[in-house]
Amino acid sequence: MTNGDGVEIGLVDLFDGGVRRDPAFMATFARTAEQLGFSGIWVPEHLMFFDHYESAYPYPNHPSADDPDKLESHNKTVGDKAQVEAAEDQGLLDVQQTAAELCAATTRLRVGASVMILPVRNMRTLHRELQSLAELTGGRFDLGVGVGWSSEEVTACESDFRTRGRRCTDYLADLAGGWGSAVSGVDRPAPRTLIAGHSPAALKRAASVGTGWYPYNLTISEFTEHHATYTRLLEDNGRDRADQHAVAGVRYTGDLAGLRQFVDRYAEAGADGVNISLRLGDDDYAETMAEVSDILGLAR
Amino acid sequence: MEHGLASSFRADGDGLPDRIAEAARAAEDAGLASWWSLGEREAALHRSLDPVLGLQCVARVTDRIRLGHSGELAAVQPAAVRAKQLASLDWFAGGRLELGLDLGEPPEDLVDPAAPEADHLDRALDRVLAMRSLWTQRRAEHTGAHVSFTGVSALPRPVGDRVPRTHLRALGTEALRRVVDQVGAPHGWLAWRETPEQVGAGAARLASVLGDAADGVRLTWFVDLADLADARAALSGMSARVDELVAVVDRVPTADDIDRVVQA
Repeated sequence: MTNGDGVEIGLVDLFDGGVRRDPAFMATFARTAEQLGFSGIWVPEHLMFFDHYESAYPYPNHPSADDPDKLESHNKTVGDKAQVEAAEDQGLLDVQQTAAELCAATTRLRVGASVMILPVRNMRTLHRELQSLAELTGGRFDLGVGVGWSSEEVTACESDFRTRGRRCTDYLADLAGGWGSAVSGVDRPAPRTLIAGHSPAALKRAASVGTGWYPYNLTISEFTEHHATYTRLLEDNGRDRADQHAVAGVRYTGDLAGLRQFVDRYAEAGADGVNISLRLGDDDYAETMAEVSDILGLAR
Repeated sequence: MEHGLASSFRADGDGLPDRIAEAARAAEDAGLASWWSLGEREAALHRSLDPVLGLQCVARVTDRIRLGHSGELAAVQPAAVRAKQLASLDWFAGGRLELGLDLGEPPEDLVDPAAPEADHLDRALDRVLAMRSLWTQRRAEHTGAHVSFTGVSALPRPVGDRVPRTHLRALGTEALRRVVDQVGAPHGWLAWRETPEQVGAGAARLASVLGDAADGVRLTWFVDLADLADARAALSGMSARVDELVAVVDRVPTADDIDRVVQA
């Protein structure tokens, strides 16, 4: 479901495989989001965490709630390197199983990867997993795709860090071209494939082999600028922007009352959807979701 | 002796998640000890649903039945990717996951085209050890010919930070020696759709490599549902001690299929 301006509102949150967020919690969380009119829940992926990274976290700043044309920083740094926002001993369940679980508890809610680290996968087994997931979720899974920013993680997954971008593009082309051949008796379209990032390579990839674009923590002016590039690249490839899906992902730490205006700015800049990371609390998520739904006019 | 079933998650017809859930509840209510997925090899051959995602549907609606992956091809997926998926499945199953390793040559259509060429058994065993590190160490470390990492935190780990019980699809003597040398003796031995004679020969190979320790290895015999009655009849004359008899059903089991497993 969308807000009054037709923008899909997603929630970025995580399920850590801990005691508190057990399967019953996940089901209630998903049903609550669905009933309150959110379009989807988007879950991050890391296969692992490290105590310290030599690779800098690329999204340490997020648009200010008061003025989404300004950035503010929320992440810790070690030396001059920004570190990922994660708890010590942070857990993350497998993205696809999380999606299957949340969709099993709901009927309309979409679940997206925010984002899957594609280049470390075996594309042949992933194709089967994605086709299975399309069937189990009734086509409600969205594939957000990243190339991975941590060389530590990509290397530990037995993959070459340097060539990960090229692999990602090749995999997506293969997936689109061969979709449907891994599981028989399933007739579901390929998932929406949203390419994360705003580097020239990411924009080029989104415009050539994605069905959408999913930048994270861009200011309004950055979003506008990169969205224009994305649109131009689509045109160069003979593809219609109207057939694609651009979602602005944002970490939001301000007063919830400001969300309406905040979301509207991204919609005006061309976003079809806005995914908001609020880091909802275990005990008060339902109240926060209800407040956000009310502010954005999501519930019908 | 215990009884279980192994199911294909073939996607024929509508309402697949509901059909899996219904069958899973029925299997648990009927008192079956285990529900196994097909192996990766069979799932690829029949182009059926992903075994792990299928087992998750079974886990969601059951509390007691043991969940087995009957043929994990450790050679085809990166250890850290697979460790996360299997640990997550175990978490959803509340610690009921058991893992059957298929260490035979993987089918061509599952081999990762991006992975460097390597001896498949060598790579699979390296990955098994890497997964065990991720599953049991708070800051995991592994150095192998194919996989290396240090200081890794991969949560959730399987329930109890344990290595899920590991079964081996029957192997030849030489491969079995390599397996035992590198990753230790298995918890169980899976005789996948073998004749009584093949089951006996497999148990003999296991004994030749493990000696007396082979007595402690659980033997699970998978037979097609249509052959279940014959298999039961053959048990008393077999040289091997079968601990668990599992009926292989080539679809999501119907109520009738489950009745047939129970009655046999």
